[in-house]
Amino acid sequence: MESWIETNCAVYMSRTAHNSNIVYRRAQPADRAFLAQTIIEADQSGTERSAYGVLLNLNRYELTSLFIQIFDLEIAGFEFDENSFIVAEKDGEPVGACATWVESADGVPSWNKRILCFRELLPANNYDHFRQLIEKGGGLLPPRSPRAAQLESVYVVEKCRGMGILSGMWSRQVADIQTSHPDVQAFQVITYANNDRAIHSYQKLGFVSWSKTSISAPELVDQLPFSEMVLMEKKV
Amino acid sequence: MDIQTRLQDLFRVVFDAPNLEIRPDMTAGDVEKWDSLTHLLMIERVEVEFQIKFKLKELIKLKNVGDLMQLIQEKIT
Repeated sequence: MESWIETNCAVYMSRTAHNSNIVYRRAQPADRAFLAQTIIEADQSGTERSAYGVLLNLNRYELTSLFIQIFDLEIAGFEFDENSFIVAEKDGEPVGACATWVESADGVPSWNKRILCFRELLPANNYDHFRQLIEKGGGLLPPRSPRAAQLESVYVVEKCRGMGILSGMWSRQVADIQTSHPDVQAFQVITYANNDRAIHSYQKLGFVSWSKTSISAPELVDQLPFSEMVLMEKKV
Repeated sequence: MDIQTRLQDLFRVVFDAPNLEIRPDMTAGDVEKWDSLTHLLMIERVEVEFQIKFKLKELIKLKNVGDLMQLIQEKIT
Protein backbone atom coordinates (compact mmCIF):
# COMPACT_ATOMS: atom_id res chain seq x y z
CA MET A 1 0.00 0.00 0.00
CA GLU A 2 1.33 3.45 -0.96
CA SER A 3 2.14 5.85 1.85
CA TRP A 4 0.58 9.31 2.09
CA ILE A 5 3.91 10.86 1.03
CA GLU A 6 4.28 8.55 -1.98
CA THR A 7 0.74 9.28 -3.12
CA ASN A 8 1.12 13.03 -2.79
CA CYS A 9 4.55 13.02 -4.37
CA ALA A 10 3.03 11.21 -7.35
CA VAL A 11 0.30 13.83 -7.61
CA TYR A 12 2.89 16.62 -7.33
CA MET A 13 5.14 15.03 -9.97
CA SER A 14 2.14 14.57 -12.24
CA ARG A 15 1.10 18.21 -11.87
CA THR A 16 4.67 19.40 -12.37
CA ALA A 17 4.94 17.35 -15.52
CA HIS A 18 1.67 18.79 -16.80
CA ASN A 19 2.69 22.36 -15.94
CA SER A 20 6.08 22.05 -17.58
CA ASN A 21 4.35 21.37 -20.90
CA ILE A 22 2.23 24.51 -20.78
CA VAL A 23 3.26 27.59 -22.72
CA TYR A 24 1.70 31.00 -22.15
CA ARG A 25 1.71 33.38 -25.12
CA ARG A 26 -0.18 36.33 -26.56
CA ALA A 27 -3.09 35.34 -28.83
CA GLN A 28 -2.62 35.25 -32.59
CA PRO A 29 -5.12 35.45 -35.48
CA ALA A 30 -5.06 31.64 -35.73
CA ASP A 31 -6.55 31.49 -32.20
CA ARG A 32 -9.72 33.39 -33.08
CA ALA A 33 -12.05 30.36 -33.08
CA PHE A 34 -10.66 29.28 -29.70
CA LEU A 35 -11.01 32.82 -28.33
CA ALA A 36 -14.65 32.88 -29.45
CA GLN A 37 -15.12 29.52 -27.68
CA THR A 38 -13.42 31.04 -24.62
CA ILE A 39 -15.85 33.98 -24.52
CA ILE A 40 -18.86 31.69 -24.93
CA GLU A 41 -17.72 29.13 -22.32
CA ALA A 42 -16.79 31.84 -19.79
CA ASP A 43 -20.16 33.48 -20.38
CA GLN A 44 -22.01 30.21 -19.74
CA SER A 45 -19.86 29.45 -16.69
CA GLY A 46 -20.67 25.76 -16.78
CA THR A 47 -24.41 26.28 -17.21
CA GLU A 48 -26.57 25.67 -20.28
CA ARG A 49 -27.52 29.35 -20.37
CA SER A 50 -25.69 31.97 -22.39
CA ALA A 51 -26.10 35.64 -21.50
CA TYR A 52 -24.84 36.70 -24.93
CA GLY A 53 -27.13 34.16 -26.55
CA VAL A 54 -30.15 35.56 -24.73
CA LEU A 55 -29.25 39.25 -25.09
CA LEU A 56 -28.36 39.00 -28.79
CA ASN A 57 -30.78 36.18 -29.71
CA LEU A 58 -27.98 34.19 -31.34
CA ASN A 59 -27.08 30.50 -31.13
CA ARG A 60 -23.58 29.25 -30.39
CA TYR A 61 -22.57 29.08 -34.05
CA GLU A 62 -23.83 32.62 -34.68
CA LEU A 63 -22.10 33.95 -31.57
CA THR A 64 -18.82 32.39 -32.70
CA SER A 65 -19.18 34.08 -36.07
CA LEU A 66 -20.04 37.43 -34.43
CA PHE A 67 -17.03 37.36 -32.10
CA ILE A 68 -14.67 36.48 -34.96
CA GLN A 69 -16.09 39.39 -36.96
CA ILE A 70 -15.45 41.69 -33.99
CA PHE A 71 -11.85 40.43 -33.74
CA ASP A 72 -11.48 41.31 -37.42
CA LEU A 73 -12.33 44.95 -36.61
CA GLU A 74 -9.12 45.16 -34.53
CA ILE A 75 -10.54 47.53 -31.93
CA ALA A 76 -8.23 47.84 -28.92
CA GLY A 77 -9.04 48.12 -25.25
CA PHE A 78 -12.06 45.94 -24.60
CA GLU A 79 -13.08 42.33 -24.09
CA PHE A 80 -13.33 41.48 -27.80
CA ASP A 81 -9.81 42.59 -28.70
CA GLU A 82 -7.73 39.60 -29.79
CA ASN A 83 -4.60 41.37 -28.50
CA SER A 84 -6.00 41.47 -24.97
CA PHE A 85 -5.87 37.65 -24.73
CA ILE A 86 -3.25 35.32 -23.30
CA VAL A 87 -3.47 31.74 -24.54
CA ALA A 88 -2.28 28.71 -22.58
CA GLU A 89 -1.01 26.03 -24.93
CA LYS A 90 -0.36 22.38 -24.12
CA ASP A 91 1.23 20.04 -26.65
CA GLY A 92 0.64 22.64 -29.35
CA GLU A 93 -3.09 22.98 -28.61
CA PRO A 94 -4.81 25.95 -26.91
CA VAL A 95 -6.23 24.79 -23.58
CA GLY A 96 -7.04 28.09 -21.88
CA ALA A 97 -7.31 31.81 -22.43
CA CYS A 98 -8.25 35.02 -20.71
CA ALA A 99 -8.43 38.69 -21.66
CA THR A 100 -6.99 41.73 -19.91
CA TRP A 101 -7.10 45.37 -20.89
CA VAL A 102 -6.85 48.74 -19.13
CA GLU A 103 -10.28 50.32 -18.87
CA SER A 104 -10.70 53.59 -20.79
CA ALA A 105 -6.94 53.81 -21.44
CA ASP A 106 -7.75 55.65 -24.67
CA GLY A 107 -10.57 57.67 -23.07
CA VAL A 108 -13.34 55.44 -24.45
CA PRO A 109 -15.09 53.01 -22.04
CA SER A 110 -15.21 49.34 -23.00
CA TRP A 111 -19.04 49.23 -22.79
CA ASN A 112 -19.15 51.89 -25.47
CA LYS A 113 -16.99 49.82 -27.85
CA ARG A 114 -18.98 46.65 -27.12
CA ILE A 115 -22.39 48.11 -27.91
CA LEU A 116 -21.09 49.92 -30.98
CA CYS A 117 -19.76 46.62 -32.33
CA PHE A 118 -23.16 45.03 -31.75
CA ARG A 119 -24.82 47.99 -33.50
CA GLU A 120 -22.49 47.58 -36.45
CA LEU A 121 -22.59 43.82 -36.88
CA LEU A 122 -25.90 42.46 -35.60
CA PRO A 123 -28.71 41.80 -38.06
CA ALA A 124 -31.50 44.38 -37.62
CA ASN A 125 -33.86 41.98 -35.79
CA ASN A 126 -31.18 40.92 -33.34
CA TYR A 127 -30.13 44.51 -32.73
CA ASP A 128 -33.73 45.49 -31.97
CA HIS A 129 -34.01 42.49 -29.64
CA PHE A 130 -30.79 43.56 -27.86
CA ARG A 131 -32.05 47.14 -27.55
CA GLN A 132 -35.34 45.99 -26.02
CA LEU A 133 -33.64 43.74 -23.49
CA ILE A 134 -31.13 46.31 -22.26
CA GLU A 135 -34.02 48.74 -21.97
CA LYS A 136 -35.77 46.24 -19.69
CA GLY A 137 -32.68 45.09 -17.83
CA GLY A 138 -30.91 48.38 -17.34
CA GLY A 139 -27.21 48.26 -16.58
CA LEU A 140 -26.36 44.59 -16.21
CA LEU A 141 -22.68 45.12 -15.50
CA PRO A 142 -21.22 46.85 -12.45
CA PRO A 143 -19.29 49.92 -13.66
CA ARG A 144 -15.59 49.29 -14.30
CA SER A 145 -13.15 51.87 -12.95
CA PRO A 146 -11.22 53.93 -15.52
CA ARG A 147 -7.49 53.08 -15.52
CA ALA A 148 -8.09 49.77 -13.72
CA ALA A 149 -6.94 46.65 -15.56
CA GLN A 150 -9.80 44.28 -16.34
CA LEU A 151 -9.70 40.47 -16.31
CA GLU A 152 -12.40 38.90 -18.49
CA SER A 153 -13.43 35.70 -20.29
CA VAL A 154 -11.38 33.30 -18.20
CA TYR A 155 -11.59 29.73 -19.51
CA VAL A 156 -9.62 26.51 -19.19
CA VAL A 157 -10.74 23.37 -21.04
CA GLU A 158 -12.20 20.84 -18.62
CA LYS A 159 -9.50 18.18 -19.01
CA CYS A 160 -6.79 20.68 -18.04
CA ARG A 161 -8.40 22.16 -14.94
CA GLY A 162 -6.50 21.82 -11.66
CA MET A 163 -3.12 22.28 -13.35
CA GLY A 164 -2.60 25.88 -12.26
CA ILE A 165 -3.32 27.26 -15.73
CA LEU A 166 -5.45 30.17 -14.43
CA SER A 167 -2.61 31.16 -12.13
CA GLY A 168 -0.13 30.92 -15.01
CA MET A 169 -2.27 33.04 -17.34
CA TRP A 170 -2.89 35.56 -14.57
CA SER A 171 0.84 35.92 -13.80
CA ARG A 172 1.60 36.51 -17.46
CA GLN A 173 -1.22 39.07 -17.83
CA VAL A 174 -0.10 40.95 -14.71
CA ALA A 175 3.49 41.08 -15.93
CA ASP A 176 2.44 42.30 -19.39
CA ILE A 177 0.06 44.96 -18.01
CA GLN A 178 2.63 46.24 -15.52
CA THR A 179 5.12 46.59 -18.35
CA SER A 180 2.73 48.34 -20.76
CA HIS A 181 0.81 50.38 -18.13
CA PRO A 182 3.03 50.88 -15.05
CA ASP A 183 0.51 53.36 -13.60
CA VAL A 184 -2.22 50.68 -13.17
CA GLN A 185 -3.08 50.37 -9.48
CA ALA A 186 -5.89 47.81 -9.51
CA PHE A 187 -7.21 44.79 -11.36
CA GLN A 188 -10.93 44.13 -11.59
CA VAL A 189 -12.95 41.13 -12.68
CA ILE A 190 -16.72 40.84 -13.12
CA THR A 191 -18.35 37.48 -12.55
CA TYR A 192 -21.74 36.02 -11.73
CA ALA A 193 -22.57 36.27 -8.04
CA ASN A 194 -23.77 32.63 -8.11
CA ASN A 195 -20.55 31.31 -9.66
CA ASP A 196 -18.90 30.11 -6.46
CA ARG A 197 -16.09 28.30 -8.26
CA ALA A 198 -15.02 31.43 -10.16
CA ILE A 199 -15.32 33.65 -7.09
CA HIS A 200 -13.20 31.20 -5.09
CA SER A 201 -10.57 31.13 -7.86
CA TYR A 202 -10.39 34.93 -7.97
CA GLN A 203 -10.22 35.12 -4.17
CA LYS A 204 -7.20 32.80 -4.34
CA LEU A 205 -5.58 35.31 -6.71
CA GLY A 206 -6.19 38.07 -4.16
CA PHE A 207 -9.43 39.61 -5.46
CA VAL A 208 -12.09 40.81 -3.00
CA SER A 209 -15.75 41.63 -3.70
CA TRP A 210 -16.23 45.30 -4.50
CA SER A 211 -19.73 45.97 -5.84
CA LYS A 212 -22.81 44.12 -7.07
CA THR A 213 -25.61 44.72 -9.57
CA SER A 214 -28.89 42.86 -9.89
CA ILE A 215 -31.02 42.34 -12.98
CA SER A 216 -33.98 44.67 -12.71
CA ALA A 217 -36.21 42.76 -15.17
CA PRO A 218 -37.76 39.61 -13.60
CA GLU A 219 -38.40 38.04 -17.03
CA LEU A 220 -34.66 38.11 -17.74
CA VAL A 221 -33.74 36.27 -14.54
CA ASP A 222 -35.29 33.06 -15.89
CA GLN A 223 -33.21 33.22 -19.06
CA LEU A 224 -29.78 34.43 -17.99
CA PRO A 225 -27.15 32.34 -16.18
CA PHE A 226 -27.17 34.84 -13.30
CA SER A 227 -29.38 37.24 -11.39
CA GLU A 228 -26.58 39.27 -9.84
CA MET A 229 -23.12 40.23 -10.99
CA VAL A 230 -20.22 40.98 -8.72
CA LEU A 231 -17.20 43.13 -9.45
CA MET A 232 -14.08 41.98 -7.59
CA GLU A 233 -10.93 44.01 -7.21
CA LYS A 234 -7.28 43.45 -6.38
CA LYS A 235 -4.93 46.34 -5.64
CA VAL A 236 -1.42 46.11 -7.03
CA MET B 1 -28.89 77.20 -34.32
CA ASP B 2 -25.27 76.12 -33.98
CA ILE B 3 -24.18 72.51 -33.45
CA GLN B 4 -23.69 72.89 -29.69
CA THR B 5 -27.18 74.29 -29.13
CA ARG B 6 -28.84 71.63 -31.28
CA LEU B 7 -26.83 68.92 -29.57
CA GLN B 8 -27.68 70.30 -26.14
CA ASP B 9 -31.40 70.22 -26.92
CA LEU B 10 -31.02 66.62 -28.10
CA PHE B 11 -29.02 65.60 -25.02
CA ARG B 12 -31.64 67.12 -22.71
CA VAL B 13 -34.31 64.89 -24.25
CA VAL B 14 -32.26 61.69 -24.55
CA PHE B 15 -30.75 61.90 -21.07
CA ASP B 16 -33.95 63.26 -19.54
CA ALA B 17 -32.09 66.25 -18.07
CA PRO B 18 -33.95 69.49 -18.93
CA ASN B 19 -31.23 71.74 -17.48
CA LEU B 20 -28.20 69.90 -18.85
CA GLU B 21 -25.48 72.24 -20.12
CA ILE B 22 -23.10 70.39 -22.42
CA ARG B 23 -19.38 71.16 -22.49
CA PRO B 24 -16.68 69.95 -24.91
CA ASP B 25 -14.91 68.03 -22.12
CA MET B 26 -18.09 66.32 -20.92
CA THR B 27 -18.00 62.47 -20.95
CA ALA B 28 -20.49 59.68 -20.26
CA GLY B 29 -19.27 59.62 -16.67
CA ASP B 30 -20.52 63.20 -16.18
CA VAL B 31 -24.16 62.53 -17.10
CA GLU B 32 -26.28 60.43 -14.77
CA LYS B 33 -28.38 58.61 -17.38
CA TRP B 34 -25.65 58.17 -20.00
CA ASP B 35 -25.46 54.37 -20.30
CA SER B 36 -25.46 51.72 -23.05
CA LEU B 37 -29.06 52.29 -24.05
CA THR B 38 -29.05 56.10 -23.99
CA HIS B 39 -25.71 56.14 -25.82
CA LEU B 40 -27.25 54.17 -28.69
CA LEU B 41 -30.33 56.40 -28.60
CA MET B 42 -28.21 59.53 -28.65
CA ILE B 43 -26.25 58.37 -31.71
CA GLU B 44 -29.45 57.52 -33.56
CA ARG B 45 -31.00 60.91 -32.71
CA VAL B 46 -27.84 62.77 -33.77
CA GLU B 47 -27.83 60.96 -37.12
CA VAL B 48 -31.45 61.97 -37.70
CA GLU B 49 -31.05 65.53 -36.42
CA PHE B 50 -27.99 66.30 -38.56
CA GLN B 51 -28.89 63.94 -41.43
CA ILE B 52 -25.58 62.16 -41.27
CA LYS B 53 -24.42 58.56 -40.91
CA PHE B 54 -21.59 57.62 -38.58
CA LYS B 55 -19.07 54.87 -39.21
CA LEU B 56 -18.03 52.52 -36.41
CA LYS B 57 -14.40 53.61 -36.70
CA GLU B 58 -15.51 57.22 -36.12
CA LEU B 59 -17.75 56.44 -33.16
CA ILE B 60 -15.24 54.35 -31.19
CA LYS B 61 -12.78 57.26 -31.15
CA LEU B 62 -15.19 59.70 -29.48
CA LYS B 63 -13.87 60.50 -26.01
CA ASN B 64 -16.15 63.40 -25.12
CA VAL B 65 -18.83 65.78 -26.35
CA GLY B 66 -16.20 68.00 -27.99
CA ASP B 67 -15.06 65.08 -30.19
CA LEU B 68 -18.70 64.46 -31.15
CA MET B 69 -19.29 68.12 -32.05
CA GLN B 70 -16.13 68.14 -34.18
CA LEU B 71 -17.16 64.94 -35.97
CA ILE B 72 -20.62 66.36 -36.68
CA GLN B 73 -19.01 69.54 -38.04
CA GLU B 74 -16.80 67.46 -40.35
CA LYS B 75 -19.74 65.36 -41.56
CA ILE B 76 -22.07 68.24 -42.39
CA THR B 77 -19.50 70.38 -44.24
